[in-house]
Amino acid sequence: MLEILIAPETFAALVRSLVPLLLLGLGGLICHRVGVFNVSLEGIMLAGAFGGLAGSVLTGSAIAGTAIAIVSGVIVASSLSFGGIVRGADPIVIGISVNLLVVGLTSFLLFAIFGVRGSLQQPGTDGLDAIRLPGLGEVPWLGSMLNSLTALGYVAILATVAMQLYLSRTRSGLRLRGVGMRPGAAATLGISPSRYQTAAVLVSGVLGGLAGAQLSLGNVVLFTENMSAGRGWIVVVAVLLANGRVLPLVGVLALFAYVDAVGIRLQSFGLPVQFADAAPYIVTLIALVAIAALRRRRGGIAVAAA
Amino acid sequence: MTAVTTAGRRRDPAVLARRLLAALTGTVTVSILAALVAVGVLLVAIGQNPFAVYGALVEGSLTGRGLVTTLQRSVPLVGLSIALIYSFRAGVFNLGGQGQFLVGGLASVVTALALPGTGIAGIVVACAAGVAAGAAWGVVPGVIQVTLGPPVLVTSLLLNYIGIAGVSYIISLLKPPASSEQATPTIAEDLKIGALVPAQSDLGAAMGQALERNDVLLLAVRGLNWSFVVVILLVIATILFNRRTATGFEAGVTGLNGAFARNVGIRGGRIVLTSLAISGGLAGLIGALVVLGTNYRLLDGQFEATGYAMTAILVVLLGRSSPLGAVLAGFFFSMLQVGGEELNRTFALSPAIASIIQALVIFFVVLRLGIPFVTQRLRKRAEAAATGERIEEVPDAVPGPRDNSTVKEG
Repeated sequence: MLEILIAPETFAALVRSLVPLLLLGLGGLICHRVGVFNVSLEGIMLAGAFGGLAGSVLTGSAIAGTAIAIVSGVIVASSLSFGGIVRGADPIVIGISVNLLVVGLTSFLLFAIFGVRGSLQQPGTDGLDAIRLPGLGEVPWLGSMLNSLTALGYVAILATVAMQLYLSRTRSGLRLRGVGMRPGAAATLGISPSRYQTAAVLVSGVLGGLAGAQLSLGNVVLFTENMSAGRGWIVVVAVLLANGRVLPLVGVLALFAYVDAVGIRLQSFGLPVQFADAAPYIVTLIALVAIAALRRRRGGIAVAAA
Repeated sequence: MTAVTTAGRRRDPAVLARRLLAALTGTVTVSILAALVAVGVLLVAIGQNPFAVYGALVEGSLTGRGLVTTLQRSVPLVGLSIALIYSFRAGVFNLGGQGQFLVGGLASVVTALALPGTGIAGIVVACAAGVAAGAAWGVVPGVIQVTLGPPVLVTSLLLNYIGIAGVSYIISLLKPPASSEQATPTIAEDLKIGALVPAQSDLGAAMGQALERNDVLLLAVRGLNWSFVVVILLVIATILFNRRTATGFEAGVTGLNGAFARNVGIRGGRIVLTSLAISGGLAGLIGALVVLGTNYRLLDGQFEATGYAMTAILVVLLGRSSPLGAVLAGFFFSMLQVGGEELNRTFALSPAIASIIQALVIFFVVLRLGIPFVTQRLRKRAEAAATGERIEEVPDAVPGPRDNSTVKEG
């Protein structure tokens, strides 16, 4: 039973579970760095998942579906940026209402457009297939991980590197971090905080839309109501834990994805399904508490919202 | 400003009329209209006549059996909203209502199954178990935030998923082996919370003879159980708590301005823990009432499927954390839900239309939609009439103990 913990299949499942989280997490991270507490990640991802599958079914092309997923994510994100940044509404309240709106709207459209309730799965729908690399794919262990990456998986890897370079090496990235730390000081230097914040929220819409497309076109080719299932909230926690830094974020999300993968595979050994369902949330909660306790002991920064 | 003079002003008909007008042109009304218009556009886009749809929605939820169903749904929804008010009003974003509601329901069904049939006393014990379990579950995020820092907003939400899975597992242990359904056994007849006027009772029989079969009053007294009365009492108790107790006052001040509250000596940590314990306990009580009064057992996934706990968050936001606001908003949202299901039958529309309207209303309220010019003028006149003191700026919640020394005691 213990060999499951290191089996190649487990790591392949980890990769599949990690890719959407990572895309969404980078979106949450850039919002965190610019000082916007984005709790509508859940809604952005769900909209992306619906847009992605609906787009692929309607146009017959997974690429067009992915484009529609991006548009869906950006629409949700722009409602957040309009409410939170332009109208100055409470970001938490607006995020919660946007999330619930997306839940309602996706099930409404699912029924209005496709006449189905609960879930949509049509045979022959174009999905995003995993890309099999000729040489590297043969390497044991690493190969099974690489072979479960779709095109969006490579986008996620590139986006992670790009985000790190953008935040640490570019002028615009420095300004963005400045806006997050001291919006007033940034404004006196002639930088418009609201412009940076709006841009960051829209970027989270793009990345979250891609994350949704990976859920509904990559990992499986179907959409179910509420299929984001709290992942957006796990990402919110992960960004808080990582304190807005890229590498720790990857680590936290990989831990979550690993527990998810092990839990699912342990079910075949008679582990009750409820434990597998709860495991990622339990691990996230424990990590949140443990890291906060450690930071408190060291007298460092406490884990807190924005 | 004391409660007495506020009440005096409210009795002045001219002020009352102006305030009513201000409310009618205010954010909430405008937001509801805007949401209805937006969904109307959506309906036109899919080829439906919005007027016919809204007409059917109102008819399906406010007449005959529909009205009784709306009232039945309002009971747990308003109850859960009242529970959440205790935390939201104190500025604590408790998103864990789902878990607290569910854990309370489980604790009460387990207690009810373990108890021999002991009537009212048994019901009280089972409800107390629900309160205790809900409070214990609810206070956990508070303890984490107060001792270590991670926000209640996030931890309370994570606990929902853990609670849902945990309760589902315990149900699978309690399930009778012969049963094909994932549900606990049914509780004893003696422990069920009865209808307001049961059909078999003398009064029920007399009413049955005096009224027509489909009379709304008859349907209501038979269809509603005593949980209805419990929730009404909760509303009254909450109004009194908010206005007349030191803790209620301190919680309101903390919610309005946390920094100010700290500076005048209100201990924030204690407020967070107290408000979460009360919130969780009441959510647990509502879970117990739903089990003992409506379902008589706990079916896996049943509580989540109702959506009460998540809708209650919207109800509290729309009602601006005021108990009476929660009653109005809770009834309105139940009406949308019941009407939405009617539309599903008559117009073949997704019942999700109700949740879209609900979420949009809140979205617009948060954006502070309004007719600024009209609202401001009306408000100014109302203020001028009311001896120039500014009433509107201070939410309903704040008038509290007249003696300021009570604040320092906490």
